[in-house]
Amino acid sequence: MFATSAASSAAVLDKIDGLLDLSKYKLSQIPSKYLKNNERWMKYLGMPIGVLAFLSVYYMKTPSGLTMGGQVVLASFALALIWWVMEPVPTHVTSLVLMGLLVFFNGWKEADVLGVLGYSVIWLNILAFILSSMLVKTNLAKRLALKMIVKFGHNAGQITLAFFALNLFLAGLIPATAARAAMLLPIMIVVASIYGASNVHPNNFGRNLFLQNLQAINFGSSAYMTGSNANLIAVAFILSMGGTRVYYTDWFFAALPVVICGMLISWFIGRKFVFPLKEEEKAPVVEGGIEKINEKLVEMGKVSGQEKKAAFIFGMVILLWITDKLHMRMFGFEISAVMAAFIGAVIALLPKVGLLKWNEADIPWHLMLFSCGAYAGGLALNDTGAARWVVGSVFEALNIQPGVNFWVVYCVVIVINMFSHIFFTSKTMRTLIFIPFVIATAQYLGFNPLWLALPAAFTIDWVIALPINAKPNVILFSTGQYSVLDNLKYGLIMTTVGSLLLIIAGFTWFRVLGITPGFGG
Amino acid sequence: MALPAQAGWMVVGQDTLANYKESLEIHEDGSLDVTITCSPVNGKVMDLPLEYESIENPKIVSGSFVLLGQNDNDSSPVVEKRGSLFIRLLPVEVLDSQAADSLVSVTFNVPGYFDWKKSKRAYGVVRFSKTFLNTSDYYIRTYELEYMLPKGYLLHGVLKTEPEYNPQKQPVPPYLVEKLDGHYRAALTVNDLSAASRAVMSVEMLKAKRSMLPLIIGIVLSVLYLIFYRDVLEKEKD
Repeated sequence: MFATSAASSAAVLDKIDGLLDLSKYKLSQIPSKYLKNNERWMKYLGMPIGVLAFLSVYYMKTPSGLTMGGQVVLASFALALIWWVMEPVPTHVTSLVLMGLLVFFNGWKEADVLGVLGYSVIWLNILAFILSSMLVKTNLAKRLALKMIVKFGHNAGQITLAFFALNLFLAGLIPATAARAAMLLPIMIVVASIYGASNVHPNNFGRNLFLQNLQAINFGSSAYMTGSNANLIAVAFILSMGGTRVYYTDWFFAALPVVICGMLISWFIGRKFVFPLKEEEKAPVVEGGIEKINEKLVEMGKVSGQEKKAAFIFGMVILLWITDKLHMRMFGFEISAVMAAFIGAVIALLPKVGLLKWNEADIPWHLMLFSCGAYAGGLALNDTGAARWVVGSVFEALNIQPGVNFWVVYCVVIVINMFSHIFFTSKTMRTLIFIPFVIATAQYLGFNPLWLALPAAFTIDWVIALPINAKPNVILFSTGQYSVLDNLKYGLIMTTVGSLLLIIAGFTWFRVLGITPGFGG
Repeated sequence: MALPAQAGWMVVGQDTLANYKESLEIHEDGSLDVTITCSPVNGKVMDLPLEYESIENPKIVSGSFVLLGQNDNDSSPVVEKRGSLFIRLLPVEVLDSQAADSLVSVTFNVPGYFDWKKSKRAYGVVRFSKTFLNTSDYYIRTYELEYMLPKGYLLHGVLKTEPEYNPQKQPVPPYLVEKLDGHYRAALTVNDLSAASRAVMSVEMLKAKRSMLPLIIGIVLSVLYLIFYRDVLEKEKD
């Protein structure tokens, strides 16, 4: 009897070992995916639909305000957007096709297109994956994840809520969203595997965990004025064009309730409606549950020297990320988020001193190519003026004239700004294009620019619909735990929720704070 | 000691032109129809900068000025000062103050301004660039450089402008692209152009007619995909 129980306990611990064997889930390898019936049809029809979109835009009469170069970029981007969603070819191949179209149709210069691979965003991704590999190899990620599960992981709801709280806290400290994604990635992978989700066998727990983290990393930044560079650009525009200074606390007190409500709604609807959890996905897939996981944690013993070294290297990088504003005073120059990760990666890869051999670094190069295509498309849209033309055309088509009710304009501005993120690959670009438009519209209509521009600025970090929309999205997409369609489905639902939250806040909370016209106004 | 002129600096006593617009209608033979329209400096001789080696058919379209030598067929309105060329306008006395304040507009043709064939680049794109150097004595408040493309040509893109456009600092680009009376048009606006400062706009244009090759390739590829990838619809076996 005792022998049988001991054997079964050993078997459970072995199973945990199996689940935690992250070498099985290498990000650099693309697992084959099982497709549902509707996904197979989308894949089949995606190719001609994408080509049709390209040809329609390419052959349309060049409208006033748009250059031919811009038209080519719009046509290429339309094809890529459809292919990324419908996936007739893998997403990284779509990116390569997009880059090819930009060059062959003279939409953007070859040197510019190929040069995207050297952009800091790509470097940050590569370095983040090196650091992440270090955490995985040394078992530090496993230990942190097990600790998190033991403390909060009694059920799926608790653990995802813990991630939301963690993200909200980190957003105030680390403005670089990609850095936050890189930091949490290995922990998320371990937690997902304990709940039976992997890139080979994705389940709804994994979809909820990764997509909710994607949302929390992105719109969590919206709680803080310093949460992203784009927020600061928006604030600068509101001052220079609108004439109103927005203080850190103005932003924080206005945006925080919206962000917290957004996170709670996402947490609730994700598990219940968007990707409902089956009974077996609501708890760790380990017989004996948390006790056994705790046993595994105990079995790991004390923190090893390698783990300490990994914690030191990663801690140093995090410290550099957090103290970015003090660098000038400390060093006489600023160490960017990329260069901070660069220092960490170099130390991690140093023979004898470091912890990682090059062959052990799990870098998903297909994801880098995917990112390159997305960025090339986005940058070309901006460079050729096509993005500005589209935004201008939308505002023009709405034909908003003086005398119109403020709240009608407010709702339109929030919805357009919020949903526009689907077509952009950079928050900064979106801010540079949209916020001046919003301020100019407010001035034209005779409204205080702050009434429209600050709520519009709160939409900047809601970049959650597609893997191309932001850096963390690409990093999390690399796990293969969800499809582009999963991302789009949950993203569109939450974009709608975000719009409604900001509209409700505009009518209520923002009025109390004096951001939107008061009850007497 | 004289201070060197810098962009945006105005010398005391210097005449100011509120507006100065140079409109270039580009033709496929490389010639230009140029129209310069600017605010008048009443009662004074006006020398407008000229960056063209030879011009034809100069005439005043509006304003209370006449061209130098207008009544003398042998003489040219072009004068040289400090090594630069100018077109000289002489004031005409008018009694109506409204007429005196109306914009002065002068037009002329520039034959063979550029070699169309040599300006052709890959993809059939033709590059065109013009630099305006303010060699005049005027401080120009608003300068506009406009290109009207030949009919049947599209603007492929604005390659470069000077002053350079920096989206981080300027919410709106300094140039405008639009279609006007069947012509594609690009117009650069520069504020506060003092003596010796310049404005540049470089554009690329191409024939509006698009090749049918992408359409054929697109259709062929789509059909081939639908035929050869039919197996995508089949259920995968475990």
